[in-house]
Amino acid sequence: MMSPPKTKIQQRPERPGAPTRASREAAAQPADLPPDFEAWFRDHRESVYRYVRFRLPTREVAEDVTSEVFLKALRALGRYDPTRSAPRTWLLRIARNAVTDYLRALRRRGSLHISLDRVPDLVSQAPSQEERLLREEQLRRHFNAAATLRSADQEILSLRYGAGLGNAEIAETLKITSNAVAVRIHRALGRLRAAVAEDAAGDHR
Amino acid sequence: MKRRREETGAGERPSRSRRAPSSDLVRLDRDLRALAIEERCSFGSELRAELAAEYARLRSSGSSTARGARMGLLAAAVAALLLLGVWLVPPARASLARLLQSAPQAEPAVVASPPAVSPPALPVVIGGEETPLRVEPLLETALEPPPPGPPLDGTPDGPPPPPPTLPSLLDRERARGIVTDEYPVALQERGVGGVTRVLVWVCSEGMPETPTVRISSGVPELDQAALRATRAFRFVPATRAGESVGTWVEFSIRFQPDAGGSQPDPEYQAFEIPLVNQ
Repeated sequence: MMSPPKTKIQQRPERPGAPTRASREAAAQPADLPPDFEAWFRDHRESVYRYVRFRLPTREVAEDVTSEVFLKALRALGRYDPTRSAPRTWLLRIARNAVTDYLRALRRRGSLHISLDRVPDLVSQAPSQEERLLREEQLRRHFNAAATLRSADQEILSLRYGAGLGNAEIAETLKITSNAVAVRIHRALGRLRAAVAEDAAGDHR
Repeated sequence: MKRRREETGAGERPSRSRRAPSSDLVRLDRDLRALAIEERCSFGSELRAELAAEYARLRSSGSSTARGARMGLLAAAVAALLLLGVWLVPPARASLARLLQSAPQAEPAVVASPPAVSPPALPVVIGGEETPLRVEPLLETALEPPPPGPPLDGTPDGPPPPPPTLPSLLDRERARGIVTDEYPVALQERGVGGVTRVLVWVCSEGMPETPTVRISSGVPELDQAALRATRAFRFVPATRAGESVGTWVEFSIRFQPDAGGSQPDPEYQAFEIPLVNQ
C-alpha cells in the first residue's frame, strides 16, 4: 500500500525571454478575440507553428515568429478577402513572409548557420525505442542537410512536412499548379537525399 | 498516407532523378512524415492571451481615434464660429487686429487659423477699449470617481476560494505502461534496475516541460528512459483558487526487474516537500 503522494511545488525560475508568471496566469483567463479569428487560431495554429518550426533552427525562434504571424494577421484581419484564399493559406502566406524576413535578418547578421545537433522538440513517432532513436538520428541528419538546401526547396518541404499540406493546398499557397508541386517536391526530396549522403560522407572522412 | 505518397509522384516529368530507385525517396518521405514537432504546451495559451491583449488594444485605439476625430471637428467648428463672431463685432475686430499685429512676438502657430483673413497693415482701434482675452477650455474631462476599493475589514464577498490542489497523473495505468515500454529490454534481462528522481514543470494544461534528472539511478540508460517516460506522462494540473496553474513536480521513477512480473512504479516519491509558491 502506498502512502499518498506528496509533490514538490516551488516557484519556477524565469528564464530570460520566457513568459512571466503573470502572462501564464493571464493566459488562463478567457479573453475576447473575433470569432472567425478564434476559430482560425484554434484550427491552424499548429499548422503554422509546424511550418515555421520546420524552417527555423530553434523552438524559441519558431515561437517568436509564430506569434508575429498571428499578431500581423489580427491587425490585418479587416483586409482578409475570403474569396481570394482560404484562411490557412492566408496565414501561411503571412508565415512565409515572416520566415523570409527573419532569415534575411539572420543572414545580414551573418549567423544563418545554427547547429541543429540538439533538436529536443523534434521527435520521431516510431513504435520501438531502438527504432525511434535510430529515426531521430536520421531526422537530425535530414534537418542539418535541409538547412543547406536552397530556399525554394526548404519552402516546399516545410509546407508539406511541416504544415502538413496536400499538393492542392501547397499549389494554392505558392500559386502554382498541383503538378508543379509534385515535381518540385520530388526534386527537393532528391536534393535532400543527396545532401544527407554528402553529410554522411563528410562524417566518414 | 498512401494517397499522399501517390500525390508526391503525381505529375512528375521524366528526369535523371526519376531513373534512380525511388525507394530511398519513399523512405525519406515516410521518415519526414513520421516527424512530430512538439509544441511547448503553454505556448498556445500564452499566444492566445497575447492576441487577446492586442485585440483589446486595437479596439480601444480604434474607438479613441474615432472619438478624437469627432472632438477635433467639433473644436474646429467652435473655433471658426468664434472667429467669425469676433470679426463681425467692431470693437472685437479691433482687438483681433491688434492681436494679429503683435502675433510674431506671441505664438506664430495661432495666427495661421483663417488663411482668407489677412491682418491689417496698421492697428485699427474702434471704440478705444480692449476686451480682455479670456481662455476657457473647450472640453473638460469629466472626473470619474475612483473605483471602489476592497472592504476595509479585508473580508472578500462570496464563498472562500477552494483549497489549492497538487498535480496528479491523469491515467496511472497508462503511466505504468509508459514506464514499462521505456524500460530497456536489455537492462531488464540483465536484471539492472534503479530509481531515477525527476524534476519537471507541469504546466497549467497538465503537460510536462523540461524534465531533468535530479538524482541519477547510476545507469544513464535508465535516466534517459525516465526522462522519455516523463515527457509522455499527462497530468491533472495543480490548481490555486480554482484556477489551473503550472508547478514544479519532483518524483521518482522506479525501474524494477522482477521475474514475478512486478511493474515499474511511477508513483511520486518526494513526500516531504511543502507547498511554497503560495
